[in-house]
Amino acid sequence: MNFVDIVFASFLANNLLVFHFLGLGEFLGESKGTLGRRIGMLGLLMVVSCLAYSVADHFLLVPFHGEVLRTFLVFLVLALVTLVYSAATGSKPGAWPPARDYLVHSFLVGGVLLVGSSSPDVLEVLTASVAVVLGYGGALVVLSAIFGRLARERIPAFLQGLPLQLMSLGLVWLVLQGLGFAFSGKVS
Amino acid sequence: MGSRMPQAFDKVTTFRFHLSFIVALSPIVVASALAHGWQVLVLVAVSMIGASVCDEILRRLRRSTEPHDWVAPLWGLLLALLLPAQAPFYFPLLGGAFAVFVVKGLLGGGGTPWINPVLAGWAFLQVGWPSAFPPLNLTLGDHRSAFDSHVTDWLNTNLFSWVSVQLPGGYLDLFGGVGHPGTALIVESGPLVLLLVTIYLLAKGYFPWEVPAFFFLAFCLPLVLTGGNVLFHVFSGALLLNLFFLAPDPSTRPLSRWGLILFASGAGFFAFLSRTWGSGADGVGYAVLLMNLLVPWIDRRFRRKSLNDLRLA
Repeated sequence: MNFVDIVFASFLANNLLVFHFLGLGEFLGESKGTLGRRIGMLGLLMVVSCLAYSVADHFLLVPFHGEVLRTFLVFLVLALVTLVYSAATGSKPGAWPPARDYLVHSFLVGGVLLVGSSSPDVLEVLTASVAVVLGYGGALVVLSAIFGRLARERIPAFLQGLPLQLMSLGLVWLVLQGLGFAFSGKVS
Repeated sequence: MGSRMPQAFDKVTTFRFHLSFIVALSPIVVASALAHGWQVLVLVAVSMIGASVCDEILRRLRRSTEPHDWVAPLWGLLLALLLPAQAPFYFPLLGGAFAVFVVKGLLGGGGTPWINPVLAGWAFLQVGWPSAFPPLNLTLGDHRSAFDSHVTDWLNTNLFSWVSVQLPGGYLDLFGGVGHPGTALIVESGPLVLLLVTIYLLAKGYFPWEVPAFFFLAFCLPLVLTGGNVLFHVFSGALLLNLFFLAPDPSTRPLSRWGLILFASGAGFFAFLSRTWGSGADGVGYAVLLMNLLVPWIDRRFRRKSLNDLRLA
């Protein structure tokens, strides 16, 4: 795969939020803190974790034929990265989201598992992880704008809030699924 | 909707607005029926009646007292135009039900959905039954009519030879909407008719000129730069219908002028991408749908200045 394909696939066609439904807690209102800061922290942790996972996979698991331990490796890498994160930010309680938010964050766990093992090339993993983060952040911004508009519509009371948000997500999925069909010659 | 600022004094009601679109689009149905046979008429009728019945059910369920604005038959007509002429009769029923119940009823509220219901119904059908939608007719000129070969030859010898260009065969068939092999979209029968009725609707001010203009520019400029076949891509598939009727839909387009320009340019560029790297069936509708998703965000960024913003006090 060339880099344009990787960016396109990670950004649109395999968007982690809309296509794999990972990291939904960020817009379902279960997280605290501003959207921009959380996306930035998630993105930084994502890129670092993907790179660490890729290197560890390449130099530890593959030479010793330990590929069955990949899921374990994901959690190990995430534990190490969040340890570093909490050591770097722990001096100011409340200023940063706590590290335990990130240890089992589905966006990080699923994303590292999907992106980190997608290619043996570290440079391709770096490209894919940056594109995945941009796609996730873009989808969050677009969805929050859509929810802002939905709040002004006349909608049956039993649908307001969570059901409507999930159904809107389904409709966005339909659009991206169709785009994936339209580009199916290009994106696997 | 199409009216100028003091809307109370304008004679154009929402009902009349929708009705004029239906009337303007009906010649394409006639052209398609002439090309593909009577089942096109049945398909369009099923689609329009099905969407209207769904809308009536929704109104009864909600005990709505709003006046009928005839938007459901328009959605049915537009959806039918996007379907292949040989589509089974349950296609427009399913797509219309999706457009009315899911998009209008559940997601949009009272007739102002944030995503184009017609295109959402079409995407629902195309994702569900991808093989039913024909690929773009790339074998141009294999099925030339006698009219096409005669007129193309006449134009080439008498007109185009003066400026030393030659029109290849098949384009007049494409333009007039005849000569397609069996599987073609209904709307592909009438690029000529569509352009004619669009002049009328534009003159009435029923949709802003920015959307078609910038959609067209953003679609054609990259196509010219990459050496694509502009004539073929403009007149084939559902591009013209998306350009003039689906993208400028009043409830799913941005409010401000810069927003409209950004929206239309993005849709045109994604349409170019889907035509250049797409496989098989026409993906222009997805380009419009993708930009529809961005409209709330665009509205937030490029909204019109209100008196509040000026901070007069």
